[in-house]
Amino acid sequence: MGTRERKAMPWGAGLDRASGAIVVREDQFSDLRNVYLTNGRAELRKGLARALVTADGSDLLGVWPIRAQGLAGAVTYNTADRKVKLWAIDSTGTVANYITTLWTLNALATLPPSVIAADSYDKLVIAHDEPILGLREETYVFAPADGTVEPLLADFARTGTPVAVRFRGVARHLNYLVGWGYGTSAEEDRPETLRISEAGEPTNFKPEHYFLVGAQGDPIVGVGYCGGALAIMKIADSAKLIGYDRATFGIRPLDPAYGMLGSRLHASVNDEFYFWSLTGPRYSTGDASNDLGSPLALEGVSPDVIEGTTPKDKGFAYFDATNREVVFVFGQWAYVLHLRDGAKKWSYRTFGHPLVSAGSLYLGGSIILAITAHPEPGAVAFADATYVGADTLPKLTVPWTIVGGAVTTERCEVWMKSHRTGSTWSRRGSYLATDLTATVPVEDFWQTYDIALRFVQSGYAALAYSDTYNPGGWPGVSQATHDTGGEVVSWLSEGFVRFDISDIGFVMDAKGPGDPGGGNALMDITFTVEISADAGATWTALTSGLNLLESSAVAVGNALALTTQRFRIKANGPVGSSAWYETPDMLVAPENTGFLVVGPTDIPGGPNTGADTHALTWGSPPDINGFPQPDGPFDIRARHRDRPDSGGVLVGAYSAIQVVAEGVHATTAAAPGYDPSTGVGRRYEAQIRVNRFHAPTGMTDVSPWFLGVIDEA
Amino acid sequence: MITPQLVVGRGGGVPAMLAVGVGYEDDDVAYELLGRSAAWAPAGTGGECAFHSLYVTTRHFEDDVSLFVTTYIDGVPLPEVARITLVGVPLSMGEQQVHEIALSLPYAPAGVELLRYAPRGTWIIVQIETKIVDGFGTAAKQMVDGVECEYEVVQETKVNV
Repeated sequence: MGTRERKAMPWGAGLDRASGAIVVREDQFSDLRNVYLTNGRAELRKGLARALVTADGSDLLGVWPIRAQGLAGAVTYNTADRKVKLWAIDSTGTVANYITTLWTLNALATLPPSVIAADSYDKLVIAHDEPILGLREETYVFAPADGTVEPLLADFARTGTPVAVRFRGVARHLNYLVGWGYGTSAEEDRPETLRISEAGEPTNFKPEHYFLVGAQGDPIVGVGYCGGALAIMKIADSAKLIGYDRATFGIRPLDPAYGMLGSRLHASVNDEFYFWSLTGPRYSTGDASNDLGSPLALEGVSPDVIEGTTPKDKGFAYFDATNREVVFVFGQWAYVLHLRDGAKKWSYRTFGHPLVSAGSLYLGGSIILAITAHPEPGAVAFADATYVGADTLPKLTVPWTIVGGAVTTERCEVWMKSHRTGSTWSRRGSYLATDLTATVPVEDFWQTYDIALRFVQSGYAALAYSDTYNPGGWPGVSQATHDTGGEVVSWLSEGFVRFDISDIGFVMDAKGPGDPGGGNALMDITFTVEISADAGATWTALTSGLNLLESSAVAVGNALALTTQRFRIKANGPVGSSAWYETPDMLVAPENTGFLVVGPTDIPGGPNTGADTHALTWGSPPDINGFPQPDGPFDIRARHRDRPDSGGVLVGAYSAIQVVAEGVHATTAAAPGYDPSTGVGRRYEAQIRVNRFHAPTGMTDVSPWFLGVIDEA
Repeated sequence: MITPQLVVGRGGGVPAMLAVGVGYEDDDVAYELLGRSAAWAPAGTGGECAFHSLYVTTRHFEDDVSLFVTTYIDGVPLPEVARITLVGVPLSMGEQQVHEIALSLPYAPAGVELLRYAPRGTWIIVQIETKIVDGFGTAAKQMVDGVECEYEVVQETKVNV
C-alpha cells in the first residue's frame, strides 16, 4: 500500500465531453449546469424574475430597447389567432402598453414566428423573419415619438410609387440600418440582397444602395457586428460588409466553410462574433471562424433529453454582460460560454420555462406608469356659441369621473363621432385627467354625438381602449351620447342680386349651422326661409329643406323687385331646429348698390317737414344683364322712412319724379315730410332710374330703380 | 440613471418578460445546480486506488441549502449519498466551509468498529447537486470551490501517458 494523497479538483473549469479519458483533466466536467464559472469556482446562477406579462399572446417574441425614447418595443405572438402584436414597454420594465397588431400570420407560415427588429434614431423597425417570401409580412416602423406604426415604404423598382417592403431582417450598423432578404417590388424574392439605408435615416432607402451577397437565391440568415465589419451570415458560408460609409462599403468573404444555423443564433462581444453554425458554436474576429464547440461533443450522446425540445435553428443567443457569458438558448436548454477569465469555458443551463427571446432594457429613461383607472362621463351639456368669428364653434361640455384607480400624469382624451352620414371617430381634445371636465368644439347642430373617453399615458392607453379606429368598442362605461342644439342662427345677406333676366334674389351668408370654421362644409342641416310682405303678419315659404352652404343663393322672384319684404330663417337638424331669425323689412332692390351717392341733409337735425334737401350724384349707368345703358335721361324720387336697422317700420311717401337730362349726373332732391316712429332714426332714400332703358325682351323701357340712402338721425 | 437590464421572453403560453439575474428561481420554478466531474484515475488508467475521503469546499450565504454529493467509483455510484446542509449566514459575509465526506465504511460487528474499508477502483467521479428536499431549496447564493480527493494508490498504472 502507498501513502495517502490528496488532490484538488477545482470547480472553475468547464465541460469537456470530448477529450479522452486518459487526457481529460480532473477539474473538468462531464456535466455542469446552472453555474457561473470563474477562476477555480462555480457559483449557482441567479434566476429569472417576472417583470411583466403582456395582456395578450402566448409567446414574447422579442424585446428591443428604443434608447432614444427610453422605452422598449416588445412583440408577442398568440397561437390561438396567429396575431403578432406590438407593445411599448416603459423604462421601469413593468408596464406593457398595447400599440397595435402588426400581422395576422398565414397558417402556413413558420409558427411560432421569428421577428427581428432594430432601433435606430428613435424608431424601431420590425421585420418578419419568415424564409418564404409569400408568407412574409410587411416590415413596420414604430415611431414612439410620433405615436405611429407604419409600413416601411421604398421605391426600389423606381416606379415612382413607394411600396411596402418585406425585409426578412434588419439590424443597425454604424449610422445605418441594414435590411436583408428583399429585392424590389418587381422582383421581391431576392434573399441574398442586403440593403443599406441613408446615413442617419433608418427608414430612407435608396434603390441603388444594396449588395448582393454570395450566390443568388442563397438567403442571408442574419447579420452581426464582427471585428469592425458586419458579418453577413448564410446557412453554410458567410461574408462581411467592410467600410464605414457609402463610398467605402464593400462585401468580402468571411468564412467560406461556415455559416449560421438560425437568424438569432449570434451575439457580438467587442470585436468577437459568436454564432451557432451547422456543426455547433463558433466565433470570428473578422476572419475565418474558429471552433468553440469541441468540448461539448455535440455529435455524441446528448447530455439530457431536454436538449432536444427546440429545433436548433429556432434558438437564439444573447450576451450577459454582467456575467460575461454568451448563452445559446434552445427552449429550456442552453449552452453557456463563459468568458469571464479570458478562457472560454462551457456549461449547460436549464431554465424553468421555455425561453424564446432576449433583449435589454435601459432602466431609468422616460416613465410610463400603469394606467389603472378609467374615465366615466357625467352629464354632458351643449354649450351654444355666439358666432363672432368664423372659427367659433359651439361646444359640448363633457365631465368625467376617475374610476377604478388613481391617476398621475394621465391625460383624458375625448373622442366623438357625429351621427351625420360620413362622420367618423376623431379625437377632439386631450386634457389632464385631473381636469375632470372638458369643453369640446362640435360642428353638427341638432345632431346626436357619440362620445368616448379614455386615459392615456405618454400616448399609450390600456388595452381595452387601444383601438382608435373604433372607440365605440371601448368599454361602455366610458361612453355617452348627447344631442347638440344650436339656437343661434344669424343671416347676413350680401344684398339682393339679379340671378338672371327673370329672377332676383339674395346670397345668404348663414353663420352658425352649416358654417363650421368658415368653410363650406355640408352638414345634415337644412334651412327654411319664409317671406312676409306685411311686416311679419303672414308668412309664405320661400324655400324649405334648403341644404344650405355658406353662400347659398336664394331666389325671391322678379315680381318682388323693388318691394319691401321681411324674411325669416331657421335651421333644421336631425334632432331639432333653431329658433327663427327674422330680418327687418328690406327693399328688394338688386341693382342699387353704389350707383347713387346721397349727400348729407342741408338741415342737420331738422324737422320732419320735408324742407331739407340732399345733394345726389351718380355716374354713367352700369350695364344691366350685359346691356349697356344710355346716359340718361334719369328719373329721380326720394322719401323719408324709419331706419329699419333700429327697428323702425314707418315709411313716408315718395316725392314726385324729378327728370334729369341726359348726361347730367347731379341734382338735389327733397323728400316729403312724415311722422316718424318714436325712438328710431330717420333715413333718407333716393332712387334713380334710366327712363330710356335698353331692356331685354319682357322688361319695360325704364330700368330698375337704383337706391341711395343716408341716415339723417 | 440608465441601467441596462437583460431580459428574456418566455414562451409556452405565458408572454412574460423575465429579468435575468434576479433571485434564485425561474419565474417561480426552481432549478438545480449540478456538477459531475470528468472521470479521473489518480493512479492512471491501469492503476487502482482506495478512495478514503472527499473534502468539499463551499461558500454560502443567507438561505439554507442542501448539497448532495454522490461518488462514483468505476462508474458505479456508492450507496451512500452525502448530504451537506449549509445554514444561512448574512449575505454580506458568506461562510467558507470545508466538509469532509468519508468514503470508507466501518466494519463494526456487534456495534464495535473493528476496521474501516475504502472503496477501490480506477476511476472516480464526484457529483454535487442541489435538490429541493425537506424545505431546503436552491434559492440561495452558493458557491462550490471544488473538491479534494484523498486516496491511496494501491497499484500504479503501467500506462505511460
